[in-house]
Amino acid sequence: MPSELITDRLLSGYLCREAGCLNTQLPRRRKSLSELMAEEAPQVLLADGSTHFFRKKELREIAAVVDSAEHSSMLLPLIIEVRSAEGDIAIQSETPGEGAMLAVFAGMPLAERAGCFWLSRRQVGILRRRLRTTTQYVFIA
Amino acid sequence: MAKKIAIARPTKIELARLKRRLKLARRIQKIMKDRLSILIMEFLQTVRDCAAVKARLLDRFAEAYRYLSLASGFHGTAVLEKELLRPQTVPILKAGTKNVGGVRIPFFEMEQEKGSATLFETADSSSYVDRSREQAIRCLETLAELAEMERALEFLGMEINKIKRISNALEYMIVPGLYETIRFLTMKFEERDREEVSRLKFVKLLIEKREAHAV
Repeated sequence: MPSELITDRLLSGYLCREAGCLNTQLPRRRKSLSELMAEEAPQVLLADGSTHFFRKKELREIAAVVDSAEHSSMLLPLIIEVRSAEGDIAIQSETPGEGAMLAVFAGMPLAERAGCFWLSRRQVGILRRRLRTTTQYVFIA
Repeated sequence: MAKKIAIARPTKIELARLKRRLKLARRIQKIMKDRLSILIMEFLQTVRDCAAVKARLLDRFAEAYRYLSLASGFHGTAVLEKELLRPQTVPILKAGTKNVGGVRIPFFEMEQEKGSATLFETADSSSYVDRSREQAIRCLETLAELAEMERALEFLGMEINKIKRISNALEYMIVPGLYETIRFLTMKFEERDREEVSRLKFVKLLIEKREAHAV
């Protein structure tokens, strides 16, 4: 009986730890496109203390698509929200040019609803192929 | 049948605690499934990209050797070796990490040093040497890209295995175990309630009988 109780406590602790470990890949502070373009080695600090480097080629591609006035307001990495409850994947719309930029990279217009761009898994795949370092996943229950 | 989780005392507080834990376990299970599907998608994408990069690398090596053999034939081995030893554009390899859905992956990026230029003497060199040098640098770039992808595949594979184990443990052990324990406790409390009702009825009957005798 006591050993079973220990297992039970371990399981409980494990579940809490797993919940705590999720989404440690989120950046502590997102940086603007202009800020990242000016850096020698563009990077952001993540919640787990590690660094996430951006590929300069991707930044240049985004800068070519986005209007230069929006370079300072566009925050990177773009957060792709994977929502378990709704079974959907979304990207929060923050700047007006973001939709146009995502449509260019996805190769098709994206559905916008309630301030979010809703993506199918296929669209996420296409988007991730082109923006590997400038997008980041977040898992929401 | 899932194994019942041992509980210290079958109390209502314990039942509430177990229900909370079941809710948390189900939430984590959902997130794990989502994470698993995303990581598998990333893994398959990386496999496809890796195959494409490997093919590109082979083409570039073939191209580089072609130019090298042309240069060697044109200048002779001794002159070519002397030319290739000359200081030239230094490629810089930037190494760091990137994160894909919670998996830390190495990041490599090749860059040319700013302000450095290819130095060559027109007397001894030709465009064949330059071309072979360019091709060699392109090979290096592709090699760095391939190295990053190979490591990414390894790390993603390890993480997918780990998540699969967690997801299976949650699906087949933890959640059914918690569910069974909750069911057991609920039944126990219902049984206790029924006993309590029958006991009260019996006491009521006894009191009524006593009152009837007294009258």
